[in-house]
Amino acid sequence: MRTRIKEFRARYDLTQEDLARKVGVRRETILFIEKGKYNPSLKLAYTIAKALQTTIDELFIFSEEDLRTA
Amino acid sequence: MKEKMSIIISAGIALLIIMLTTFYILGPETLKLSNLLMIFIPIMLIIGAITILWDRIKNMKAGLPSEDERAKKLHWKAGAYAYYVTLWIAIGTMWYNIIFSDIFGFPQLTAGQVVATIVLLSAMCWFIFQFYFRRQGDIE
Repeated sequence: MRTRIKEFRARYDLTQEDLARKVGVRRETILFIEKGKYNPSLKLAYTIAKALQTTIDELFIFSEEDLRTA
Repeated sequence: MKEKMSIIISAGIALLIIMLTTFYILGPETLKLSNLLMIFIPIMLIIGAITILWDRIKNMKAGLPSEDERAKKLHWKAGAYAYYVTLWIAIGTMWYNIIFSDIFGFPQLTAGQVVATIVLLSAMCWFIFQFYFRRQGDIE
């Protein structure tokens, strides 16, 4: 899974720690989501999308392979 | 900062191993390796607990939660893996008494030693799995 969190963070000039504080998670969680190493829950994905004033499908990009291996 | 902390912890563990080995070699003949392990493992557990506590305090000071969904998931997964390993350790101690002790004449493990080994090693496994999963990011 690929994410556009870094791109949206840059748009709003937010650090990983700022975003983590906004959504109520640890900074490492944001880091691993950005790297595509951690799949967040739907609730967290929605909260992040809301904090970055976007939608989940704008933020998280699934390839066909991701959907097959999920 | 993280690197500095890991260097301090590694140096502490190395120093502890050297101290215990020296004490074992130069110490009285009555001192057994199992006695040293009973000291070494709790110290490792204390170091692990301090590391976790330090990490939580650091997050709380930064205004971040000490635990989130990922941390909780990794806690549970580490617990589940440690449980499986503990079962194998329990089976291992039983086989040790049957194979090594009865057949090859190694000293028999007492019930107290078996219980202490299982409890301490399971806690240690939990710390190790937790540390490993945290570095991995996630576990499916």
